[in-house]
Amino acid sequence: MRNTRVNLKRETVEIETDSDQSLEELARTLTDKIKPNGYALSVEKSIKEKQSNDVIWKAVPIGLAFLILFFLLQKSGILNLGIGGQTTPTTSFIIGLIASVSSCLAIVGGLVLSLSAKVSQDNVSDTKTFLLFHAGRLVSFAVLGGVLGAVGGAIGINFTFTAILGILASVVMLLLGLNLVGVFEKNKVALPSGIFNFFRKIEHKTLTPLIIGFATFFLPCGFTQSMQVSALGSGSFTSGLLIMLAFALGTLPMLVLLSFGSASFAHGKHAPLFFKSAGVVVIGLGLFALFAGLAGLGIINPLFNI
Amino acid sequence: MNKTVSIIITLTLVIGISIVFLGDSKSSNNAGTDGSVQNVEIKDGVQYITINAKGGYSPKVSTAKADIPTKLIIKTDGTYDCSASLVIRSVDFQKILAQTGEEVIDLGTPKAGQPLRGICGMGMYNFSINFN
Repeated sequence: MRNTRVNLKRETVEIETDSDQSLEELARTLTDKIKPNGYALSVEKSIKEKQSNDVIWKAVPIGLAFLILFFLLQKSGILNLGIGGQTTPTTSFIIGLIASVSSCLAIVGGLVLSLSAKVSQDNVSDTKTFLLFHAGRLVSFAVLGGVLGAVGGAIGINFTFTAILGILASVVMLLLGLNLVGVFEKNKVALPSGIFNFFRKIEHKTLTPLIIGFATFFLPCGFTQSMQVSALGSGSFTSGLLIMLAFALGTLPMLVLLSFGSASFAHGKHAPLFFKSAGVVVIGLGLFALFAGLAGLGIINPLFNI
Repeated sequence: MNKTVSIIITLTLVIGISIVFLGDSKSSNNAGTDGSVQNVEIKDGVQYITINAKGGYSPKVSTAKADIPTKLIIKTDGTYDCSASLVIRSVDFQKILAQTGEEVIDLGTPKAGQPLRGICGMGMYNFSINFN
């Protein structure tokens, strides 16, 4: 190799070399070397949408409009339906339906949206990943609900623990949101073995979506916590299992819509617009969850009261 | 879409979202006919402050007397949302309230000028009580 020149703006690397390998072979050998850093070489000119700058100007208002709709819905008080009396699997199913469009969506839904969009963007086999996530969520809700009912002791209802987990989730959402909008793309400098390599690596594992589904049980959400207390008081493995399973089933339609909806957009022709709009929504929800989580821990004064 | 048009729409939406966040919540339907809420009463030398928890706390701001033994009553009525998971750091109270019922929390004898703040576990709803 004699000489290399890097042009960040045009995303090109010029290489002079004495090697007698063909262009394709050369690109392949070099790609193998730089792949861990998130780069790839290609002999074809990669077709980048020229309008990516225009797309962000469409994406910001679309994302903001969704955020406003969401918070207006919270503020309207429509979701404060009175469901009194005993918690049966039927009522917990209905509460699940409500929870899936409530402020809990800011954390759980935001996380699902950001992860789904990222998975689709990176062309991981998304259907399998989503199925695993939802299956993991349903099964762990059912099993943990059963355990709560049988043991009668408090697992996962530690406020500080759930709050910290919520803050962690909101940080992940912010990072993924910024990534979807394309902020990190602009800097063009890959974080060496950084967060995104970590994501790229764990995305391909079968276990990851299962674990994330499992972790949603502990994410801070008033509805989930109320259901956990109901499961606690239900007194038997079966009843606790039924309550939490019904609740998870109630939240399922909205979350399925978010994950598979984003996948179908991601493969459509408006994919760049979708990723950027989703990024804006996720950043908004992430900020909201972050400030709310910090306020919940008593670190900052509450900023809002929706 | 034109960039300028888009910037204008964005600004409008930003203003809209700040109104949603900072504007007064209209959902406080527990207010009496005269607009004020009577939620503090003194019985047998003990001051009781009542706050309803459902889709937020109402009233959001209460005023009570300082220097007398005080108990806080949180009323829930089919409350499944965040307001059921209540945290009051100054008295070290953390609990997920029963879906329907009353929770009595002993506040000791509050001092003037030290407001008490309660917040729900996720940090979305809060209330405060001023003592003077």
